[in-house]
Amino acid sequence: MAYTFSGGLDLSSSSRIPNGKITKLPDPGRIVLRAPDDGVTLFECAVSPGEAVAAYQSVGSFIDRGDVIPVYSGIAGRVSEILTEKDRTVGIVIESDGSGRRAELAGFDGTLDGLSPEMICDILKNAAIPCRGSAGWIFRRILATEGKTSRFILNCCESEPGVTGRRARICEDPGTVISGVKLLMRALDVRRCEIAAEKDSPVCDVLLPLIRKDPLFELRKVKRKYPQDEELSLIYAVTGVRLSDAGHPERSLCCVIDAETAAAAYRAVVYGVPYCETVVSVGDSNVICPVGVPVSEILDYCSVDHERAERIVLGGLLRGRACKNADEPTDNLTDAVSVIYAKDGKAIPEMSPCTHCGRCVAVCPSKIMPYYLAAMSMKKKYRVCADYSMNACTGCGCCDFVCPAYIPIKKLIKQAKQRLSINTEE
Amino acid sequence: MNINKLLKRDMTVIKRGRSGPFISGSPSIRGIMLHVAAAVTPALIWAVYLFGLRVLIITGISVASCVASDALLTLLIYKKPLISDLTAVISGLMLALTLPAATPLWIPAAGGFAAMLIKQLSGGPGNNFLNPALFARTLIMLIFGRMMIYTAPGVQLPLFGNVDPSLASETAMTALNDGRFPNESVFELLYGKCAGNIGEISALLILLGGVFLIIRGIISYKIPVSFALTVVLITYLFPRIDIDSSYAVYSILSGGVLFAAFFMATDHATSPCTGLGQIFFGIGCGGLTVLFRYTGVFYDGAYPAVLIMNELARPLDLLAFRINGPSKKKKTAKKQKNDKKTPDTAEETAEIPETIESDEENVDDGLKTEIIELDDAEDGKNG
Repeated sequence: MAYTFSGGLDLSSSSRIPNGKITKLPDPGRIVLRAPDDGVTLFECAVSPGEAVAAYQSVGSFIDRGDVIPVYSGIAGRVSEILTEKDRTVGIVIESDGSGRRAELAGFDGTLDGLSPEMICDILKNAAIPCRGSAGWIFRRILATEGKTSRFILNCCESEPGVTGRRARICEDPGTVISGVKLLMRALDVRRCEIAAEKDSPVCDVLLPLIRKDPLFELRKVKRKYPQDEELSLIYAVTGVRLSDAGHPERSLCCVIDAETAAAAYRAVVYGVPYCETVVSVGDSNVICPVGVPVSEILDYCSVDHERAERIVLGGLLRGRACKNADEPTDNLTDAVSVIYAKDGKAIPEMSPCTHCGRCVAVCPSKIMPYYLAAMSMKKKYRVCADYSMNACTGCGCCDFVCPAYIPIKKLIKQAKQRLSINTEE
Repeated sequence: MNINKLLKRDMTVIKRGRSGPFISGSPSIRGIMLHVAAAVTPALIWAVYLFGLRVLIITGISVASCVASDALLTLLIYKKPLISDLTAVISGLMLALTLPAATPLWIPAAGGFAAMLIKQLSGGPGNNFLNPALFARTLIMLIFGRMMIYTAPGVQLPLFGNVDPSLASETAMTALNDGRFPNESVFELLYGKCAGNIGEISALLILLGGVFLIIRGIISYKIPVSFALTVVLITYLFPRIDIDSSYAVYSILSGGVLFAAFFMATDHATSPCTGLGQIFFGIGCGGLTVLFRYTGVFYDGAYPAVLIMNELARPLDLLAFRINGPSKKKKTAKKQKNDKKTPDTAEETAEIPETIESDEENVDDGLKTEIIELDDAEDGKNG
């Protein structure tokens, strides 16, 4: 029996997209490092225009609710511009000089047995490792569960169709992933790690030899379903406990570590490599790109025509959002770039009224009533939305996918969340 | 390789504003309606075979009346042209299938108008709280009940003019209502050689259509199964005629129970969306059907039972959510209320005044046809 969660989409026929070898993007012309547009994170610049920077050098920091997280440049070059909006620094532009110079890196100097939870959190924070699969920084996730949990779930599941970066990374270098998890487990005194992967995924064959004799690890074969890679879906699939609504008081139950995060943690601890490169899937190829590379550079490298594109989507076709133009930079969580041409699909006809077909309720992994929330959001009754567990929505987009009336449910729920938070802040 | 080519096999790429999924795996409303039409076609063809071409004329009149009334009423009430999503066609088809073949021809025409009137007056497609076809059928049953003539299969019916009342034959339902044993055998009711309404003759063909809809994911199995099981259970435990256990079998096969369970109670707009709500709905329909049949005044209790339950569809959804939805929120909310002991329910249910940025979007809650183009301030993932 395969482990799974309730709801979700069975996209099995289309997620068997092969992943090619991971290639590295040749030196891009420039990168743009920006603070996320969430109204909370501030960007503090540590360099001045014209200053030379090396790859892996810290060029500033994000200040996110009191935490200072350094920002690293993925390329060597010169700072050409500092972006400001409303008298606030929001990012910097670095032009490459083609030298490929690297800052000197130093791994953790000491025995790995001596790592304490505080030290590991410090390293992860200074390496700016984000938490993939859900928002936030990995050190925060670890701090929230440290000492409370004795259980890890290693997320090796595939994301939405067309995003194969995680699978490709694990297949190419499974050793780093497992070493990274072991390192975190030792530091945090975690005695058990369950590896969740699709039962027909090549990841299982690759990882099984590495963990066969290790009593700490156990492979959990999950059903191929979207959004299996989301934190709440994984916890429900593996432990059978449904977490819902914001706040996650039960987060102490277990800690979900993404495979790529684990690999990044290993590199950060052992070699001192900061997180400034992501694997981006374009079609069936995977490219390692520095964070902040313009989308057009990646598409050019993959020889995908973006001039005639109708939409360029940052992310997969389910979770992603459309770029304003082809020069929009990637961020540290970008996992794919998808292109839609005029001939590919149909323009959405006018949204028709909800027929209450119940498809959105059937597929919702959070077991909420998306159609009702969307209707209430349209009527601006945001408080009612909150009463009906709006905050349990993870934004997976399953409801939009199945809606025969093409109602932008995900967007409406998100709008309600934003409006309600603005109102309560006031 | 182009990713979209790989995806396209079972989903469509869609182009919408800035956010939201860009692929869709759902048939359109039109597609859903075509599925429903395909599902009832076998039963319709069987009726044509048994009762002749008059069946098709009744169906045609009913569909034409529904489409014409729908277009007219949309124009009059909402000043908008008709959306051609085939919902009116399906309502007409459904109405025709619940009428006997010997019905006077003006009845489906009037019924079609009544059906579309209730649909448009209660807010247009999707907002109607009563199944239009069922509403019209029940109205016809109440007003013109005595003009409904059921004829035995094989009796020659005139294509147009009225049917001679002397041709009337007894249906299994009449016998059961009178507390007698029907003339037909269980087998005849199962494959369909009996008098009755156009769509409900053959139980097997109804099952075929229903299973097709369930397999294609158009309807959920929960409503029909809980509906039919409730009818069987009650009639088995409390048979009206103490013959033997076959009373339960006769009850489920005669009249419109199966047709109502698969095609009427599953109407999207007038049935619950949540799984638990659907089960409650089915049980309610089944219970009311048996009650109406045992003690009510109707010829067949199934249609009025569904019509009564229609009103409860949305409340049942909310009830199911309270029982089965994300539970944590409820508990913490309760806890907080108990702690504070000052429940500010008035504030919680009150609408939030639109203080912010109300100018940037324009959402009407009438037909809701305007796409909301928001600023897509995607919140950063690092929040």
